[in-house]
Amino acid sequence: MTSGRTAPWHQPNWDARAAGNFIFGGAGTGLIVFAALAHAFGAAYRLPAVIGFALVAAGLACVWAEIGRPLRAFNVYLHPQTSWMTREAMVAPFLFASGAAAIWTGSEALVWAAAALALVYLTCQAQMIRASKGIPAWRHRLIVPLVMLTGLTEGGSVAVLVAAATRDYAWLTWLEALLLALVIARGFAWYAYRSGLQREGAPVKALAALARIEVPFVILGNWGPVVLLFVALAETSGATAFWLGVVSAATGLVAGWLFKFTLITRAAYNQGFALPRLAVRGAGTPGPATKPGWH
Amino acid sequence: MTRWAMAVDLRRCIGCQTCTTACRQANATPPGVQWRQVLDMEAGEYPDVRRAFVPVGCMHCGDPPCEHVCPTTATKKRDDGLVTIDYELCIGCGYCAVACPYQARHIVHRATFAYGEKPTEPEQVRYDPERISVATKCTFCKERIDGAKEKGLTPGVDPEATPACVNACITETLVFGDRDDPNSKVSKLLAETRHFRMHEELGTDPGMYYIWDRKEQP
Repeated sequence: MTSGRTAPWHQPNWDARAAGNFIFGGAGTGLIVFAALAHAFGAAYRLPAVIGFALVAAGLACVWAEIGRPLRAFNVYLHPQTSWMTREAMVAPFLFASGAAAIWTGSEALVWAAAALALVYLTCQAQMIRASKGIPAWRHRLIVPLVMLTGLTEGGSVAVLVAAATRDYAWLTWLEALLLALVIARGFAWYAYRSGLQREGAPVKALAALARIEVPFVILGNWGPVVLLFVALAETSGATAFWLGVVSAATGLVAGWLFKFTLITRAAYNQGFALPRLAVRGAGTPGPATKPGWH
Repeated sequence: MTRWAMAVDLRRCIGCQTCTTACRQANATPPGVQWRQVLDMEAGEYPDVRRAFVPVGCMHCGDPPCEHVCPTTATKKRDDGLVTIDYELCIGCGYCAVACPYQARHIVHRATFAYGEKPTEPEQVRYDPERISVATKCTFCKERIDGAKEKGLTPGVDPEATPACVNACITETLVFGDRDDPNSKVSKLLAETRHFRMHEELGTDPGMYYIWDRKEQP
Protein backbone atom coordinates (compact mmCIF):
# COMPACT_ATOMS: atom_id res chain seq x y z
CA MET A 1 0.00 0.00 0.00
CA THR A 2 1.30 3.44 -0.81
CA SER A 3 -1.49 5.50 0.67
CA GLY A 4 -4.80 5.58 2.45
CA ARG A 5 -6.56 3.06 4.62
CA THR A 6 -9.09 0.96 2.79
CA ALA A 7 -10.35 -1.58 5.36
CA PRO A 8 -12.55 -0.14 8.12
CA TRP A 9 -10.71 1.56 10.97
CA HIS A 10 -12.00 2.77 14.29
CA GLN A 11 -13.73 6.12 14.24
CA PRO A 12 -11.57 8.70 16.03
CA ASN A 13 -14.23 11.27 16.87
CA TRP A 14 -16.31 9.86 19.72
CA ASP A 15 -14.36 8.61 22.71
CA ALA A 16 -15.09 7.74 26.35
CA ARG A 17 -16.75 11.12 26.84
CA ALA A 18 -19.35 10.30 24.21
CA ALA A 19 -19.75 6.85 25.73
CA GLY A 20 -20.33 8.63 29.06
CA ASN A 21 -23.38 10.34 27.62
CA PHE A 22 -24.95 7.01 26.70
CA ILE A 23 -23.82 5.31 29.91
CA PHE A 24 -25.03 7.97 32.34
CA GLY A 25 -27.96 9.12 30.20
CA GLY A 26 -29.24 5.55 29.84
CA ALA A 27 -28.87 4.66 33.51
CA GLY A 28 -30.32 8.00 34.60
CA THR A 29 -33.39 7.89 32.40
CA GLY A 30 -33.96 4.23 33.27
CA LEU A 31 -33.79 5.15 36.95
CA ILE A 32 -36.27 8.01 36.51
CA VAL A 33 -38.73 5.57 34.91
CA PHE A 34 -38.17 3.04 37.70
CA ALA A 35 -38.55 5.74 40.36
CA ALA A 36 -42.00 6.52 38.98
CA LEU A 37 -42.98 2.83 38.92
CA ALA A 38 -41.73 2.33 42.46
CA HIS A 39 -43.55 5.44 43.57
CA ALA A 40 -46.75 3.83 42.29
CA PHE A 41 -46.07 0.99 44.75
CA GLY A 42 -45.64 3.48 47.54
CA ALA A 43 -41.86 3.81 47.63
CA ALA A 44 -40.01 7.08 48.12
CA TYR A 45 -39.50 9.03 44.89
CA ARG A 46 -37.11 11.77 45.82
CA LEU A 47 -33.77 10.00 46.26
CA PRO A 48 -33.85 7.69 43.21
CA ALA A 49 -35.19 10.54 41.11
CA VAL A 50 -32.44 12.92 42.24
CA ILE A 51 -29.81 10.28 41.44
CA GLY A 52 -31.43 9.69 38.04
CA PHE A 53 -31.37 13.36 37.12
CA ALA A 54 -27.80 13.68 38.37
CA LEU A 55 -26.79 10.81 36.09
CA VAL A 56 -28.48 12.41 33.07
CA ALA A 57 -26.75 15.70 33.90
CA ALA A 58 -23.42 13.87 34.14
CA GLY A 59 -24.03 12.43 30.67
CA LEU A 60 -24.74 15.87 29.25
CA ALA A 61 -21.60 17.20 30.91
CA CYS A 62 -19.66 14.46 29.12
CA VAL A 63 -21.06 15.64 25.78
CA TRP A 64 -20.19 19.21 26.58
CA ALA A 65 -16.64 18.13 27.36
CA GLU A 66 -16.47 16.27 24.05
CA ILE A 67 -17.53 18.94 21.59
CA GLY A 68 -14.87 21.04 19.93
CA ARG A 69 -16.60 24.38 20.43
CA PRO A 70 -18.29 24.21 23.85
CA LEU A 71 -19.10 27.93 23.92
CA ARG A 72 -21.38 27.42 20.94
CA ALA A 73 -23.19 24.52 22.59
CA PHE A 74 -26.59 26.18 22.24
CA ASN A 75 -26.36 25.84 18.45
CA VAL A 76 -27.32 22.23 19.12
CA TYR A 77 -30.95 23.37 19.19
CA LEU A 78 -31.07 24.43 15.55
CA HIS A 79 -32.04 21.23 13.75
CA PRO A 80 -34.98 19.41 15.34
CA GLN A 81 -36.36 18.48 11.91
CA THR A 82 -33.99 15.55 11.45
CA SER A 83 -31.25 15.50 14.10
CA TRP A 84 -31.70 13.15 17.06
CA MET A 85 -28.97 15.06 18.88
CA THR A 86 -31.06 18.21 18.69
CA ARG A 87 -34.12 16.29 19.84
CA GLU A 88 -32.25 14.87 22.79
CA ALA A 89 -31.09 18.36 23.72
CA MET A 90 -34.64 19.71 23.38
CA VAL A 91 -36.11 17.05 25.66
CA ALA A 92 -33.48 17.66 28.36
CA PRO A 93 -34.77 20.97 29.81
CA PHE A 94 -38.36 19.67 29.92
CA LEU A 95 -37.11 16.49 31.60
CA PHE A 96 -35.22 18.42 34.26
CA ALA A 97 -38.05 20.91 34.78
CA SER A 98 -40.71 18.23 35.19
CA GLY A 99 -38.42 16.23 37.46
CA ALA A 100 -37.61 19.19 39.65
CA ALA A 101 -41.29 20.06 39.89
CA ALA A 102 -42.20 16.45 40.67
CA ILE A 103 -39.61 16.25 43.43
CA TRP A 104 -40.67 19.63 44.80
CA THR A 105 -44.45 19.11 44.72
CA GLY A 106 -44.79 15.33 44.82
CA SER A 107 -47.44 15.58 42.10
CA GLU A 108 -48.31 12.19 40.58
CA ALA A 109 -48.89 13.75 37.18
CA LEU A 110 -45.47 15.34 37.17
CA VAL A 111 -43.82 12.11 38.29
CA TRP A 112 -45.32 10.32 35.30
CA ALA A 113 -44.56 13.24 32.99
CA ALA A 114 -40.90 13.03 34.01
CA ALA A 115 -40.92 9.26 33.41
CA ALA A 116 -42.45 9.72 29.96
CA LEU A 117 -39.88 12.38 29.06
CA ALA A 118 -37.11 10.11 30.33
CA LEU A 119 -38.32 7.43 27.93
CA VAL A 120 -38.34 9.95 25.08
CA TYR A 121 -34.81 11.02 26.01
CA LEU A 122 -33.66 7.40 26.01
CA THR A 123 -35.31 6.87 22.62
CA CYS A 124 -33.44 9.90 21.26
CA GLN A 125 -30.15 8.42 22.47
CA ALA A 126 -30.84 5.06 20.85
CA GLN A 127 -31.94 6.67 17.59
CA MET A 128 -28.90 8.94 17.67
CA ILE A 129 -26.66 5.89 17.54
CA ARG A 130 -28.72 4.29 14.80
CA ALA A 131 -28.58 7.41 12.61
CA SER A 132 -24.78 7.15 12.46
CA LYS A 133 -24.75 5.64 9.02
CA GLY A 134 -20.98 5.57 8.80
CA ILE A 135 -20.64 3.00 11.59
CA PRO A 136 -22.07 -0.43 10.65
CA ALA A 137 -22.28 -1.63 14.27
CA TRP A 138 -24.34 1.42 15.16
CA ARG A 139 -26.69 1.78 12.23
CA HIS A 140 -28.28 -1.65 12.60
CA ARG A 141 -32.00 -1.29 13.35
CA LEU A 142 -31.80 -3.68 16.34
CA ILE A 143 -29.42 -1.34 18.14
CA VAL A 144 -32.46 0.73 19.17
CA PRO A 145 -34.21 -1.89 21.35
CA LEU A 146 -30.86 -3.09 22.68
CA VAL A 147 -29.73 0.37 23.82
CA MET A 148 -33.16 1.15 25.27
CA LEU A 149 -33.39 -2.13 27.16
CA THR A 150 -29.86 -1.64 28.40
CA GLY A 151 -30.73 1.82 29.73
CA LEU A 152 -33.86 0.56 31.45
CA THR A 153 -31.97 -2.41 32.92
CA GLU A 154 -29.31 -0.09 34.28
CA GLY A 155 -32.01 2.14 35.75
CA GLY A 156 -33.67 -0.87 37.36
CA SER A 157 -30.33 -2.00 38.72
CA VAL A 158 -29.60 1.38 40.31
CA ALA A 159 -33.15 1.42 41.70
CA VAL A 160 -32.54 -1.94 43.41
CA LEU A 161 -29.26 -0.65 44.80
CA VAL A 162 -30.90 2.54 46.09
CA ALA A 163 -33.73 0.57 47.65
CA ALA A 164 -31.22 -1.74 49.30
CA ALA A 165 -29.09 1.12 50.56
CA THR A 166 -32.07 2.98 52.01
CA ARG A 167 -33.67 -0.23 53.33
CA ASP A 168 -36.82 0.63 51.41
CA TYR A 169 -37.79 -3.05 51.23
CA ALA A 170 -41.50 -2.69 50.59
CA TRP A 171 -41.13 -2.60 46.83
CA LEU A 172 -37.90 -4.55 46.44
CA THR A 173 -39.61 -7.74 45.28
CA TRP A 174 -41.55 -5.86 42.63
CA LEU A 175 -38.39 -4.14 41.52
CA GLU A 176 -36.49 -7.39 41.27
CA ALA A 177 -39.28 -8.97 39.25
CA LEU A 178 -39.30 -6.05 36.82
CA LEU A 179 -35.52 -6.11 36.61
CA LEU A 180 -35.56 -9.83 35.88
CA ALA A 181 -37.93 -9.31 32.97
CA LEU A 182 -35.74 -6.52 31.60
CA VAL A 183 -32.49 -8.46 31.92
CA ILE A 184 -34.00 -11.41 30.05
CA ALA A 185 -35.27 -9.05 27.33
CA ARG A 186 -31.82 -7.41 27.11
CA GLY A 187 -30.20 -10.81 26.63
CA PHE A 188 -32.50 -11.68 23.75
CA ALA A 189 -32.07 -8.20 22.24
CA TRP A 190 -28.30 -8.74 22.30
CA TYR A 191 -28.53 -12.06 20.46
CA ALA A 192 -30.93 -10.61 17.90
CA TYR A 193 -28.62 -7.64 17.33
CA ARG A 194 -25.44 -9.67 17.04
CA SER A 195 -26.88 -12.32 14.76
CA GLY A 196 -28.45 -9.57 12.64
CA LEU A 197 -25.11 -7.85 12.35
CA GLN A 198 -23.35 -11.07 11.37
CA ARG A 199 -26.05 -11.97 8.87
CA GLU A 200 -26.15 -8.56 7.22
CA GLY A 201 -22.40 -7.98 7.33
CA ALA A 202 -20.12 -5.82 9.43
CA PRO A 203 -16.42 -5.06 9.70
CA VAL A 204 -14.54 -8.08 11.02
CA LYS A 205 -12.89 -6.02 13.75
CA ALA A 206 -16.24 -4.67 14.96
CA LEU A 207 -17.60 -8.19 15.30
CA ALA A 208 -14.43 -9.23 17.10
CA ALA A 209 -14.79 -6.33 19.56
CA LEU A 210 -18.36 -7.38 20.31
CA ALA A 211 -17.33 -11.03 20.62
CA ARG A 212 -14.80 -10.05 23.28
CA ILE A 213 -17.57 -8.93 25.66
CA GLU A 214 -19.65 -12.07 25.19
CA VAL A 215 -18.44 -13.51 28.51
CA PRO A 216 -18.32 -10.39 30.74
CA PHE A 217 -21.46 -8.77 29.33
CA VAL A 218 -23.72 -11.63 28.31
CA ILE A 219 -22.71 -14.66 30.36
CA LEU A 220 -21.60 -13.03 33.61
CA GLY A 221 -23.36 -9.68 33.31
CA ASN A 222 -26.69 -10.77 31.91
CA TRP A 223 -27.48 -14.45 32.44
CA GLY A 224 -25.67 -14.41 35.77
CA PRO A 225 -28.06 -11.81 37.21
CA VAL A 226 -31.01 -13.69 35.68
CA VAL A 227 -30.11 -16.78 37.71
CA LEU A 228 -29.45 -14.74 40.85
CA LEU A 229 -32.73 -12.84 40.52
CA PHE A 230 -34.66 -16.07 40.01
CA VAL A 231 -33.16 -17.44 43.21
CA ALA A 232 -33.71 -14.15 45.03
CA LEU A 233 -37.40 -14.12 44.11
CA ALA A 234 -37.84 -17.77 45.08
CA GLU A 235 -35.86 -17.42 48.29
CA THR A 236 -37.84 -17.12 51.49
CA SER A 237 -34.95 -15.92 53.60
CA GLY A 238 -34.97 -12.13 53.55
CA ALA A 239 -31.24 -11.66 53.94
CA THR A 240 -30.31 -14.06 51.15
CA ALA A 241 -32.82 -12.54 48.76
CA PHE A 242 -31.55 -9.08 49.65
CA TRP A 243 -27.92 -9.85 48.90
CA LEU A 244 -28.68 -11.81 45.76
CA GLY A 245 -30.70 -8.84 44.51
CA VAL A 246 -27.89 -6.43 45.30
CA VAL A 247 -25.23 -8.54 43.59
CA SER A 248 -27.36 -9.13 40.49
CA ALA A 249 -28.20 -5.42 40.23
CA ALA A 250 -24.57 -4.37 40.56
CA THR A 251 -23.48 -6.97 37.99
CA GLY A 252 -26.22 -6.05 35.53
CA LEU A 253 -25.36 -2.37 35.87
CA VAL A 254 -21.64 -2.78 35.26
CA ALA A 255 -22.34 -5.12 32.35
CA GLY A 256 -24.60 -2.55 30.68
CA TRP A 257 -21.96 0.13 31.03
CA LEU A 258 -19.33 -2.23 29.61
CA PHE A 259 -21.54 -2.89 26.59
CA LYS A 260 -22.05 0.79 25.82
CA PHE A 261 -18.40 1.64 26.40
CA THR A 262 -17.45 -1.14 23.98
CA LEU A 263 -20.06 -0.13 21.44
CA ILE A 264 -18.84 3.46 21.28
CA THR A 265 -15.09 3.12 21.83
CA ARG A 266 -14.18 -0.40 20.67
CA ALA A 267 -16.68 -1.66 18.08
CA ALA A 268 -17.19 1.58 16.16
CA TYR A 269 -15.30 0.64 13.00
CA ASN A 270 -16.27 2.75 10.04
CA GLN A 271 -17.51 1.64 6.63
CA GLY A 272 -14.12 1.57 4.94
CA PHE A 273 -13.97 1.59 1.16
CA ALA A 274 -15.25 -0.91 -1.36
CA LEU A 275 -15.39 -1.36 -5.09
CA PRO A 276 -18.26 -3.33 -6.65
CA ARG A 277 -16.00 -3.75 -9.73
CA LEU A 278 -12.34 -3.42 -10.48
CA ALA A 279 -11.73 -1.34 -13.56
CA VAL A 280 -10.44 -2.49 -16.90
CA ARG A 281 -6.76 -1.63 -17.29
CA GLY A 282 -5.39 -1.46 -20.82
CA ALA A 283 -6.65 -4.38 -22.89
CA GLY A 284 -7.56 -6.44 -19.83
CA THR A 285 -10.90 -7.36 -18.36
CA PRO A 286 -12.75 -5.91 -15.38
CA GLY A 287 -12.07 -7.53 -12.02
CA PRO A 288 -14.34 -8.73 -9.24
CA ALA A 289 -15.60 -6.71 -6.31
CA THR A 290 -13.43 -5.95 -3.31
CA LYS A 291 -14.50 -4.96 0.17
CA PRO A 292 -11.53 -5.26 2.49
CA GLY A 293 -12.02 -5.90 6.18
CA TRP A 294 -15.62 -7.08 6.02
CA HIS A 295 -17.28 -10.22 7.25
CA MET B 1 -31.72 22.25 -12.11
CA THR B 2 -28.03 21.74 -11.57
CA ARG B 3 -26.36 18.83 -9.81
CA TRP B 4 -22.61 19.25 -9.60
CA ALA B 5 -20.98 15.86 -9.81
CA MET B 6 -17.62 14.25 -10.43
CA ALA B 7 -16.70 11.28 -12.55
CA VAL B 8 -13.62 9.26 -11.66
CA ASP B 9 -12.31 7.14 -14.48
CA LEU B 10 -10.66 4.28 -12.62
CA ARG B 11 -9.21 3.00 -15.89
CA ARG B 12 -6.98 6.05 -16.02
CA CYS B 13 -5.84 6.81 -12.48
CA ILE B 14 -2.17 6.06 -11.86
CA GLY B 15 -2.11 7.05 -8.21
CA CYS B 16 0.23 10.00 -8.68
CA GLN B 17 -1.50 11.98 -5.89
CA THR B 18 -1.29 15.22 -7.85
CA CYS B 19 -4.97 15.81 -7.07
CA THR B 20 -4.23 15.37 -3.36
CA THR B 21 -1.40 17.85 -3.49
CA ALA B 22 -3.40 20.34 -5.54
CA CYS B 23 -6.28 20.12 -3.09
CA ARG B 24 -4.01 20.67 -0.13
CA GLN B 25 -2.44 23.66 -1.85
CA ALA B 26 -5.77 25.15 -2.89
CA ASN B 27 -7.51 24.63 0.42
CA ALA B 28 -4.61 24.97 2.86
CA THR B 29 -5.50 21.84 4.78
CA PRO B 30 -3.22 20.98 7.72
CA PRO B 31 -0.84 18.00 7.78
CA GLY B 32 -2.70 14.71 7.91
CA VAL B 33 -5.90 16.15 6.49
CA GLN B 34 -6.58 15.27 2.88
CA TRP B 35 -9.92 16.31 1.51
CA ARG B 36 -9.03 14.52 -1.71
CA GLN B 37 -7.00 11.38 -1.26
CA VAL B 38 -6.14 8.49 -3.54
CA LEU B 39 -6.45 5.00 -2.15
CA ASP B 40 -4.14 2.27 -3.29
CA MET B 41 -6.23 -0.89 -3.20
CA GLU B 42 -5.13 -4.43 -3.82
CA ALA B 43 -7.61 -7.21 -4.52
CA GLY B 44 -7.58 -10.89 -5.34
CA GLU B 45 -5.14 -13.64 -4.55
CA TYR B 46 -1.95 -14.73 -6.21
CA PRO B 47 -1.61 -15.15 -9.13
CA ASP B 48 -4.68 -13.05 -10.00
CA VAL B 49 -3.96 -9.91 -8.03
CA ARG B 50 -5.29 -6.55 -9.11
CA ARG B 51 -4.42 -3.06 -8.05
CA ALA B 52 -6.66 -0.03 -8.17
CA PHE B 53 -6.06 3.63 -7.47
CA VAL B 54 -9.23 5.18 -6.14
CA PRO B 55 -9.66 8.91 -5.54
CA VAL B 56 -12.07 9.51 -2.67
CA GLY B 57 -13.42 12.37 -0.61
CA CYS B 58 -16.77 13.95 0.13
CA MET B 59 -19.27 12.47 -2.31
CA HIS B 60 -21.62 15.47 -2.07
CA CYS B 61 -24.51 13.08 -1.55
CA GLY B 62 -28.01 13.81 -2.75
CA ASP B 63 -29.30 12.48 0.58
CA PRO B 64 -26.38 13.24 2.90
CA PRO B 65 -26.48 11.48 6.30
CA CYS B 66 -24.15 14.18 7.65
CA GLU B 67 -26.76 16.82 6.93
CA HIS B 68 -29.54 14.82 8.59
CA VAL B 69 -27.67 14.32 11.85
CA CYS B 70 -26.02 17.74 12.15
CA PRO B 71 -27.65 19.35 15.20
CA THR B 72 -26.68 22.89 14.27
CA THR B 73 -27.58 23.12 10.56
CA ALA B 74 -23.91 23.91 9.92
CA THR B 75 -23.98 21.18 7.29
CA LYS B 76 -26.31 21.99 4.45
CA LYS B 77 -27.11 20.55 1.05
CA ARG B 78 -27.50 23.25 -1.55
CA ASP B 79 -29.92 23.08 -4.44
CA ASP B 80 -27.00 22.55 -6.81
CA GLY B 81 -25.93 19.42 -4.92
CA LEU B 82 -22.99 20.82 -3.00
CA VAL B 83 -22.83 19.80 0.66
CA THR B 84 -21.37 22.67 2.66
CA ILE B 85 -20.26 23.41 6.22
CA ASP B 86 -20.75 26.73 7.98
CA TYR B 87 -17.72 26.89 10.28
CA GLU B 88 -19.33 29.58 12.41
CA LEU B 89 -22.28 27.36 13.32
CA CYS B 90 -20.44 24.06 13.76
CA ILE B 91 -19.85 22.97 17.37
CA GLY B 92 -17.42 20.17 16.48
CA CYS B 93 -19.58 17.43 17.97
CA GLY B 94 -18.32 14.92 15.40
CA TYR B 95 -21.78 13.50 14.73
CA CYS B 96 -21.44 14.21 11.00
CA ALA B 97 -18.10 12.38 10.99
CA VAL B 98 -19.62 9.18 12.37
CA ALA B 99 -22.61 9.52 10.07
CA CYS B 100 -20.53 9.80 6.89
CA PRO B 101 -19.92 6.38 5.30
CA TYR B 102 -17.08 7.80 3.21
CA GLN B 103 -14.80 8.91 6.04
CA ALA B 104 -14.71 12.29 4.35
CA ARG B 105 -14.90 14.55 7.39
CA HIS B 106 -12.00 15.75 9.46
CA ILE B 107 -11.82 17.53 12.79
CA VAL B 108 -8.52 18.86 14.14
CA HIS B 109 -8.43 20.29 17.64
CA ARG B 110 -5.11 22.09 17.51
CA ALA B 111 -3.18 23.88 14.83
CA THR B 112 -0.50 21.74 13.22
CA PHE B 113 2.06 22.77 10.65
CA ALA B 114 4.35 21.04 8.22
CA TYR B 115 7.56 21.73 10.14
CA GLY B 116 6.97 21.64 13.87
CA GLU B 117 5.07 24.04 16.07
CA LYS B 118 5.72 27.22 14.08
CA PRO B 119 3.97 27.84 10.79
CA THR B 120 5.94 28.63 7.69
CA GLU B 121 5.24 32.02 6.16
CA PRO B 122 2.68 30.71 3.64
CA GLU B 123 1.01 28.66 6.38
CA GLN B 124 0.86 31.74 8.60
CA VAL B 125 -0.81 33.74 5.87
CA ARG B 126 -3.43 31.09 5.15
CA TYR B 127 -4.04 29.86 8.69
CA ASP B 128 -7.74 30.06 9.54
CA PRO B 129 -8.57 29.67 13.25
CA GLU B 130 -12.22 29.16 12.32
CA ARG B 131 -11.27 25.70 11.07
CA ILE B 132 -10.02 24.48 14.42
CA SER B 133 -12.34 22.10 16.33
CA VAL B 134 -14.99 22.12 13.63
CA ALA B 135 -15.74 19.63 10.87
CA THR B 136 -14.09 20.22 7.51
CA LYS B 137 -14.23 18.40 4.20
CA CYS B 138 -13.99 18.73 0.42
CA THR B 139 -16.12 21.59 -0.86
CA PHE B 140 -15.75 20.83 -4.59
CA CYS B 141 -13.93 24.19 -4.46
CA LYS B 142 -17.27 25.94 -4.12
CA GLU B 143 -15.80 29.45 -4.24
CA ARG B 144 -14.74 28.77 -7.81
CA ILE B 145 -18.14 27.37 -8.73
CA ASP B 146 -19.97 30.24 -7.07
CA GLY B 147 -17.86 32.80 -8.89
CA ALA B 148 -18.35 31.16 -12.27
CA LYS B 149 -21.63 32.76 -13.26
CA GLU B 150 -20.43 36.28 -12.57
CA LYS B 151 -17.33 35.68 -14.63
CA GLY B 152 -19.19 33.97 -17.45
CA LEU B 153 -17.35 30.70 -16.85
CA THR B 154 -18.52 27.08 -16.86
CA PRO B 155 -17.47 24.78 -14.00
CA GLY B 156 -15.86 21.65 -15.38
CA VAL B 157 -14.86 23.46 -18.57
CA ASP B 158 -13.02 26.58 -17.50
CA PRO B 159 -10.17 25.81 -15.08
CA GLU B 160 -10.83 28.96 -13.06
CA ALA B 161 -14.28 27.61 -12.18
CA THR B 162 -13.29 23.97 -11.74
CA PRO B 163 -12.15 22.12 -8.59
CA ALA B 164 -8.39 22.17 -8.09
CA CYS B 165 -8.08 18.38 -8.09
CA VAL B 166 -9.73 18.15 -11.51
CA ASN B 167 -7.50 20.85 -12.96
CA ALA B 168 -4.41 19.13 -11.61
CA CYS B 169 -5.22 15.59 -12.74
CA ILE B 170 -2.60 14.62 -15.30
CA THR B 171 -4.47 11.64 -16.73
CA GLU B 172 -7.93 13.22 -16.95
CA THR B 173 -9.20 10.69 -14.46
CA LEU B 174 -11.28 13.36 -12.72
CA VAL B 175 -14.05 15.02 -14.68
CA PHE B 176 -16.40 17.59 -13.19
CA GLY B 177 -19.66 19.06 -14.36
CA ASP B 178 -23.41 19.32 -14.20
CA ARG B 179 -25.00 15.88 -14.04
CA ASP B 180 -28.38 17.35 -14.94
CA ASP B 181 -27.05 18.86 -18.17
CA PRO B 182 -26.96 16.09 -20.79
CA ASN B 183 -24.41 18.08 -22.78
CA SER B 184 -21.92 18.48 -19.96
CA LYS B 185 -18.65 16.63 -20.22
CA VAL B 186 -19.42 14.55 -17.15
CA SER B 187 -22.88 13.53 -18.44
CA LYS B 188 -21.51 12.56 -21.85
CA LEU B 189 -18.73 10.52 -20.31
CA LEU B 190 -21.10 8.69 -18.01
CA ALA B 191 -23.48 8.02 -20.90
CA GLU B 192 -20.81 6.12 -22.79
CA THR B 193 -19.29 4.17 -19.89
CA ARG B 194 -20.20 1.69 -17.19
CA HIS B 195 -19.92 3.09 -13.70
CA PHE B 196 -20.95 2.69 -10.07
CA ARG B 197 -21.18 4.87 -7.00
CA MET B 198 -19.52 3.80 -3.78
CA HIS B 199 -21.71 2.33 -1.01
CA GLU B 200 -24.75 3.11 -3.11
CA GLU B 201 -26.72 0.50 -1.15
CA LEU B 202 -26.76 2.88 1.82
CA GLY B 203 -29.11 5.18 -0.04
CA THR B 204 -26.93 8.28 0.10
CA ASP B 205 -27.20 9.12 -3.61
CA PRO B 206 -23.51 10.04 -3.88
CA GLY B 207 -22.35 12.60 -6.42
CA MET B 208 -19.13 10.83 -7.41
CA TYR B 209 -19.27 8.23 -10.17
CA TYR B 210 -16.58 5.61 -10.66
CA ILE B 211 -16.08 4.47 -14.25
CA TRP B 212 -14.81 0.91 -14.66
CA ASP B 213 -15.41 0.02 -18.34
CA ARG B 214 -16.81 1.32 -21.59
CA LYS B 215 -20.36 0.52 -22.54
CA GLU B 216 -20.69 -2.53 -24.74
CA GLN B 217 -21.62 -1.72 -28.30
CA PRO B 218 -25.03 -3.05 -29.35
